[in-house]
Formats: sequence, C-alpha cells, structure tokens
Amino acid sequence: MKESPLRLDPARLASWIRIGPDNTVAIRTGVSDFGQGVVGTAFRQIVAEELRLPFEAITDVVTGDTDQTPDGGISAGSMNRSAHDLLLGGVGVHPDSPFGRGALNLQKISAYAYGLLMTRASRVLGTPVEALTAIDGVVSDGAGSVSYADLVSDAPLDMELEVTGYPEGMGGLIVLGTPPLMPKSEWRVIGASAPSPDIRSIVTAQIDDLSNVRLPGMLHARIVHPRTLGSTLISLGHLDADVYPTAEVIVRGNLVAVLSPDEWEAVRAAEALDETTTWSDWRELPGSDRLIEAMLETDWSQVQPGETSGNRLEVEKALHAAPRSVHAFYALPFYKHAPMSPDVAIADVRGDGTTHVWAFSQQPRMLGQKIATMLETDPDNVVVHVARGAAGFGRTTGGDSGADSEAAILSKICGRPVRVQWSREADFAWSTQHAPYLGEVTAGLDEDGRVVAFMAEHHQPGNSGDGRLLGALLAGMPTEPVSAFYTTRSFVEWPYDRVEQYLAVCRGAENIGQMESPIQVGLRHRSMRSPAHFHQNFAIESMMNEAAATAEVDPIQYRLDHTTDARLIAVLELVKNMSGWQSRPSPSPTARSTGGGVVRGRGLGIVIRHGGYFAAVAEITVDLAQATVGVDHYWLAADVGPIVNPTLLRRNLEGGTVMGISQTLVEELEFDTSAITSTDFRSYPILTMAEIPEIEIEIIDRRDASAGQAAEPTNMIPPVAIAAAFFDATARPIRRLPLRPKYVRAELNES
Amino acid sequence: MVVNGCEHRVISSAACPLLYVLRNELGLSGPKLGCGAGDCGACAVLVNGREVRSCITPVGEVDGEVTTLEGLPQLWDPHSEGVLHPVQQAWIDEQVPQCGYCQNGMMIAAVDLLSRSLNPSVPEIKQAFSEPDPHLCRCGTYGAILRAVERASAAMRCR
Repeated sequence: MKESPLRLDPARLASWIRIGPDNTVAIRTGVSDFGQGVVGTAFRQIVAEELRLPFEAITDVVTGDTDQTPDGGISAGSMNRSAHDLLLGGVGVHPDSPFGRGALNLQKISAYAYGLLMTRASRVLGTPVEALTAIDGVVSDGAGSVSYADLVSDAPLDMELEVTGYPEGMGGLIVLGTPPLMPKSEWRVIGASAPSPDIRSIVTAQIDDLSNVRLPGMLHARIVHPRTLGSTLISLGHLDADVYPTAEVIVRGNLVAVLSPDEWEAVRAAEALDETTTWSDWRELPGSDRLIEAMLETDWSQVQPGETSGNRLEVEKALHAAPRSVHAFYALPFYKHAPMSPDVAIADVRGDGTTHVWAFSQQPRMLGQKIATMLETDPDNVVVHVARGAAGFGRTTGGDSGADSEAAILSKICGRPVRVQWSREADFAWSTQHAPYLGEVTAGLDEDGRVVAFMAEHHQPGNSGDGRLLGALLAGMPTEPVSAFYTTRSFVEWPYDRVEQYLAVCRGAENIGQMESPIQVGLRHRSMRSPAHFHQNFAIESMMNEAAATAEVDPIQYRLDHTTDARLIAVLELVKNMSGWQSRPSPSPTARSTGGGVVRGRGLGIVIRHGGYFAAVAEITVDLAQATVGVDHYWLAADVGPIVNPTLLRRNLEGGTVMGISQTLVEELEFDTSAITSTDFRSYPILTMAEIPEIEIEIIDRRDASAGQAAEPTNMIPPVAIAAAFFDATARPIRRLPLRPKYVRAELNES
Repeated sequence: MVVNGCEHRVISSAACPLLYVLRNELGLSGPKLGCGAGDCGACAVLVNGREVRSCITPVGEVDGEVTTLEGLPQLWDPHSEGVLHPVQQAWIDEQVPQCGYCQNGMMIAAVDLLSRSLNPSVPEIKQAFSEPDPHLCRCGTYGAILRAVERASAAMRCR
C-alpha cells in the first residue's frame, strides 16, 4: 500500500482500535451504517464481546471517512459469510466465527487486542495468561488486578497485521489470521438487544448528519438539469442581477448551476433561469406505457447471457418429455430508491490540491476514485467524508449518487466549498433507478404434478456496472465506462434439490435510452434492495405457486415435496403454524373475479439469500368493484443464523416487508418518450401507514450457522405472497406488478 | 418570531419557506427537507401546537409560536432540564428510527395527535399519519411508530 498522509495504514492494529484512559474503546471501520444498526450497534456488540467489556464501553465508532478508516469496501452484506465468499473469495474466514467482512475484521481486531492486553497483564501481574480473567476491562489473577487503561497508558495497543483484499473495490480489506475468539456458547453481549446509540441522537436532533454539514464560505447550488434525459443546451437563460444580486451562474457543457450564499435565492434564481433556458428536444424512450411491449419486442436471443446455471440441453429435453407444463411471462416496472432526502452533497476542491467530498455513500473509496478520475488528480488527493443521511437502499452502490460529482465540478470552478441540494423533482428525474424485468418461466410436471424440470429466463435492460458520474456526463468530463454485472447474474439459490433439471439464463442489456441519448444518460440502472434477485425470485416462486395450483397441491406442501433443505423446511413449518394455515390448494373454493363485493385470499412466498432463510404468508382482500388490493395480515418466519440484536433484526425484517408490500401494491416509475414523469410522491407513491397490515415475525436463532443476510432480503417475499393470495382470492393469476387498480381491473376483466 | 420559546428577529424575505429560516438562519436541524411540496412530512413543525409543513409555509405567513423537534422537551415540561418529551422517550424505548430522516415529522405528528386525542385507537393513529397529507417513511418503520405512539399515550395519561 502506498504511503499517503490522507490514508491510514490498515496493516497496523492501531489504525482500527484504541483503548482510552477511562477503559472506553474507539473503533474504526470503513463500513457505514445506513440505519440498519449494523455498524452503530451490531459491530459494537461484537467488539464488546471479544474484549469482555459491556456494550456501553464502545463509545466511539468512526465510520466511512476514507482518511480516517481502513477500506471497508461496499457497505452492504457487511456481516454475512456468503457476501464475504462472494466479494472476497472466502479469503480470511475464521473457522470459529459465523461472520464475514466488516464484522469479522472487527471481531479479529478485538481478539488480537484482547491477546495483547492479556500478555501485558501477565507481565504486570507476574501470572501466566491462562490464570487470568478479564471482566469489564479489569484483568485479575485472584490476588492482584490491572485495568485495560493502565495496560495501555505507556504504549497504545499496536501490532503488525496481515491484510489483503480489493482496495477501492466492493470487497474492501480483510484482516488475515485466526486469533482465538470468545466461544459462541459464552456470548453475552451478542444476542441481546443493545439499544442503538444513534437512535437517541436522531430523536433529540443531535445527530451530525449530511443535511447539517456547513463549511466556511460555502455556496448553495441548485442545478438546472436538461429538459429531457437526452437534451443538450441550446441557449442559457437570463438572470436579472437586480432581482438575484448574490446569484452566480456556472455552465460547463450541459451542467448548468446557480450558486448563492443564500439558499433561498439559489432556489428562486434556478427556477427563473430554468424558465428561459432552452434545450434540444429528444424522444427516444419507449414510455412506461409501452415498457413491457418494448421488453417483449427485444430480441433477447441476440444478447449474450451473463450467467447460465444448469445444462440447457438436459433441461430442454426433460421439459419436452414432461407430460404437462406451465409456462408464463412475469413483468416488473422500474423502481425508484426514493430516499426521504433528495440528493445532497458538499464538495471542497482546495488550493492545496486536495478535494474533500461529504456524501452519504455506500462505497466512499470508489466515489473518491471516480472523483479523482473526473478531476484528473491522484485518488490519494481525494477524501470522502461519509455523513449520515436518508437511506438510499443501494442507490450509492458504486459510490456516487449524482449531486456529489456536480458539487465537485462546481467547487473546482468557483474555488469555494459548494453544497448541491437537489429538489425532489430533480431527485426523481435525475437519480438512478432499478431496471425493469421480463421473465419467461416454464415448469415441466410429471403425472403426479411434481416438477421434473424448471427453466427461467431473466431479462433486465439495465447496466448495474453503470457507475458513471452524472456530473461528468453532463459536463463532458472523464468518467469510467459501464460494465455489466448484477442484472446478468443468477441470484436465486435454487432450493428445490429434488428437481434435478433446473436452468436459469440471465441477460442484461444497456440502460434504456442510454445509447440513443446525446448525453449518454437515459434510464440509468443502479442496484436497489435485493437487486435483480427481487425480480428473479418473483418469477421463480410465482411459478412454483402456479405449478402447485396446476398440480392441485397445497403450496406449502408442494415446496416441502421438492426440497430436503432442513432450514427451508423449518421456516416453512414455522410460518404454517404462525399463520394458522389450512392445507388446501389454491384457488380458494370461494374464489371469484366477478360479481362485485370483496373476496379474500392467502398466499405463500419464500426466499433464500446469502444464508438467510425466509417464508411468509399474506392474507389480502380484493375489492372487485374498485379493483383495489389491501394486505390485511402478514406472517414472516426467518432464520438468519446467529441473532446478534433481536430488536434491530426484527426492525429490519419488518421494514423490508413494508418496502416489499409498497413495491407490490403501488410503486412504478412512469416516463414518457423524453423524461421521467413520476416527479413527486403523488406520481411515485410509496406505502403509507394506513396501508400496512398487521405483521407478525418469528425468528429462529442458530448459533451453529454462519451469519446470513438479514437486513436486506425481506422485501422480496411480499410480491410472491401477495400475487399468490390474489390468485387464491380470484382464481386469476397476476404476473405483473404493481397491483394498481388499472392493472388489477384489466386482469379481472380479461376473459 | 417565537421559536422554541425564544424571540428571534428574522432577516429572510417573507416569501422564504419557514424550513430554510429554521435551518439556515436559526441553526435548527430537526426539520428536514423531504419533498418541498408538503407531501412527505419530514419538515413538520408545530405552530401553536398544530402540525405545519414548514417547506411550503412562507415565513411571513407564520402566525403563532413555532416549536421544532428541539423544543419538544420544553413544550412538555418548561422547568425540567434534560427530560425528553414522552413522545421522544417512546421513540427511544421502541427503537423506532432506522435511517431516521423522516422521524422529525413523525414525532411532531405524534405530539399533535396526542394533544387532540390523548388515547387514540389504532385506526385513528393510522389515519393521523396518512391523511390528508401522509408522513412517509422509506425504511418501513410505521409499525414501530404505531407502537411508540401507544407507549407515549400511556406515559402521558399517567401525568
């Protein structure tokens, strides 16, 4: 690793942990917390456990900042083992730890620190390490004792570490070695509901978040974005200096901004400038009304599959030989991350050659690297400070969000710190979105109705390797090319091991409109909670529900008949008991789609993601006259391996469920042939409190298992369970979401 | 203008939204910019005890005493230092926030609701947070908010 004054040396223990004079502990991690409590609470618990300290002793957690923390890679899957295997190739796993990545690093660091403390204590007390015990930061041999603080008063804890990984990539760094760990059977802090220290600061308005970052001499900027996703600037509008005395206009290429020390003046001046600025016309998008047709019209056979799992010839042969088959297309729209804050960032390009950016980035090092490419400077000259903001659920995968690169360009031009705040309208129109989906799925059944072959072809026009900086695209500055990644990978971990012939083919394509756009923008894709897996799981599990109905078998029983996976079986049995499930096939004997009034149904959904197992049941009401769907009750059974913090885990499972219900019932990005037309929370609604069902959650604790993906995946289940419940209630399969009245009505009226 | 019990002289123009005045002039960070259109509730404050969306309220039209999240403890008990409003305490006890960005408005809405209806039913709570202008949360904390309002209600009824 290159020496740099703006980088820590990750190969020194002191770069990760420090014990203070009052027995408190400060830790540093490149992983940031986005509200799940992973860093702010779970990491603290893990550190406290290894150091035999109470949770409250971990007083200081430095996260994210690229000059203050070792590289943590992407802040996603920061605890689970599967993500570790995926992103770090399994290097550095510890046989006695269930954790991966950021959590494993701090567990090892704490274990090394504990070892050093015990060696020092042994020397001070003159007693072998084996005869020492440590409780609450005091080491004792029965006769004498010494505190951690005394042990570090002359020399802070430090040692050389072996560290490897993928600097500035997704995996981040991993500390090697296998220091002895606290046995899982003796965990006291892990497994208890430590309260999140962040929550008190949020509730009392004490949190030092991104919205509060203010620098001396800072200018407020508002961007006048192009009229469409493919427009170029024709003529700059006029700004009356008498009306807007402090406003300054900056133009670079198609990046147009108004800056002022007075935020409200910047807002008004940008509106005035926008009115008189002219842009070229552009109409190359299909329009959201034609999105499914456009995806159906695409000749996907010409697109090279990104990933194929299974043997195509064998599966096609088995499908051909099957006496019965079920075949269906499934479609999902563009989704918006829709964080509660419109995008905001602050940049300060300084005279000393350094650039500082304040952003709520999931991947700050990659953001710094991209900013460096754009500004044509060395990445070591760029520092990204991660300040807490509104959760973006994957929007800053790859580092940036939009306002960050715009702020850096403007600061470089004007020589002062610049704060770019997007309006809500700009946020909907110019941020990234998750690609739509078209799936074609076929299940071949034998005479008894059991699945003998299963083929899923997944199609997603969206390039999630699209990490290009929006500011660079608009200003015509250097940025990296796009590459295909998520949308061409098979994410479903096929759980039905009794079905031998399974094939998944995944095809991604360019962002819609990107190649046709003179500014190369179009509808840019970016990962969103359970990226691509959400879509693939919807199609595959919906088909399992349809196959069960064709076979006239209860959908829970049908899954039990096709798997030997003990953990899947356990969550299926649990949710069956929780929900008082009556065994019978769908549709319900009382199902109907005509005649007005309301009908009720129930449906099952499951997902397995990175070592997390989930099964859920939804009970819904369909109003046939209004063509509306309401979710009344929802039961979720989960197994994510060892439980670290029951309360926060439950919160995350519940929050994901609510987001999933929102995606199922109401969310759909609308656009015409030029631009995004969902520009506020009325045209892109998200679920309100009035629409949430009663949600019941039970969690199986497995300390013998690896930590699984916990905070992310539960949004994947409602689409499957609610669509199944719709079929149960109406005997009409519904294969496109969301369940807005216009689509529901079309489905009910179809004969 | 009186904000959180203190008189302030405001320099911003009368048309400037209250939100910008509170954040930029008075240095208060509780209210957040969410939509700028009154659609989401992140910017909510109390004016004479009733919820107002500060992002669409020109400061010149504010007619009454403003209370922000920072002022809730004093609103509850003007003499007791360091004691949180029961709504804030309930938010901590229930561990409500995830990212927390919307929670300012959620707590303001809860204080408004409980001042009108000290023991609201579940449908009343759901309605208060959803109609006519909803309080939106992307992290899906609605269930925890509901439980926290019930907890705060119980605490406030004890006084």
